[in-house]
Amino acid sequence: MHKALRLCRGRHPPVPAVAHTTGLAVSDSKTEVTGNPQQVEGLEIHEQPDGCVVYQKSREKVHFLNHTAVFLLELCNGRHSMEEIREIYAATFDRSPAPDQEIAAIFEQFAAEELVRIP
Amino acid sequence: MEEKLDTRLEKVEPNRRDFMKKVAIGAAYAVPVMASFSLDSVRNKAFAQASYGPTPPRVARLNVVDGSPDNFVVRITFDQAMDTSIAPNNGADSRIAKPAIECYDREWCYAFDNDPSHDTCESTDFRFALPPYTWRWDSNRVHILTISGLFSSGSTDNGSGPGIRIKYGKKPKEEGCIDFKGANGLNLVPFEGRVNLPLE
Repeated sequence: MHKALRLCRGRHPPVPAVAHTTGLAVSDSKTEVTGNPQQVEGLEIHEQPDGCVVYQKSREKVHFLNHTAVFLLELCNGRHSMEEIREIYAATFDRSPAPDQEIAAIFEQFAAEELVRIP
Repeated sequence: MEEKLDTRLEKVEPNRRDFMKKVAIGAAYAVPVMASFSLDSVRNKAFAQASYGPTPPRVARLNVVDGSPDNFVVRITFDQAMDTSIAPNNGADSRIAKPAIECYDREWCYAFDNDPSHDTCESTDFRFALPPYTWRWDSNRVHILTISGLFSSGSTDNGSGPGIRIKYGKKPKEEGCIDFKGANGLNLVPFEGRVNLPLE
């Protein structure tokens, strides 16, 4: 098992369906609980030229993510396993081998800040 | 490249896919990083580090478009263009979903004379039910914000100094604000202005 997987598993219970909110649009799509990493409800993601700003009203927090971090956050839609996220990320940014430590570190932050729940 | 990305991102919502493609293609690789702050600290910090330029935005003019208490409309003109991309262009009162005027604060004062220190003021701040209001920007990056709302007319105690004083913005050491986002992130731009509404 990859380090990213080990670090992220078992921290949170499965999450309910997500209504993903972005800066300009609200998706009405629902995703089923799959056991995959999933953004928590109620995040407002505002796109920036160099990443994004995420408002988390429930915790009165704001997060600034660079472009690779927001890419990973966006993959947390409940439809990708950690392994898939790792593979997509590595292939997209042409990283070989996959930067597991970097991925693990940012997912630890996601989990610690309760942006993503990883069953 | 794009075709491969499309395949990789097939399980991503279509409305997010374009953004992710832009992210993937548009910038050199960097280690993923995230910086987190409490909203309060950002507000305070952002004001100190205003990204609008050497001086933070100020209200250049505050004027009443319609002064009737049941259809109050005020126009706020800033001295520089505001990035309103956090704030929807149009919106209705909601402290939860509408960050543009999350901290929007109104206060009306019963004015006895022309000396503000003699005023008796009541605030709409959380202690009272807020009258509904809406706001509108003229475009996405604008100088002018128009706020419309319903206000109680109130009355003056002695009848000699008619006026409802509406106060916007940050009072000393208190919250009361409109949020705007600058190029470097979130900026809180407190401002203060007063308009006097004639009472009928």
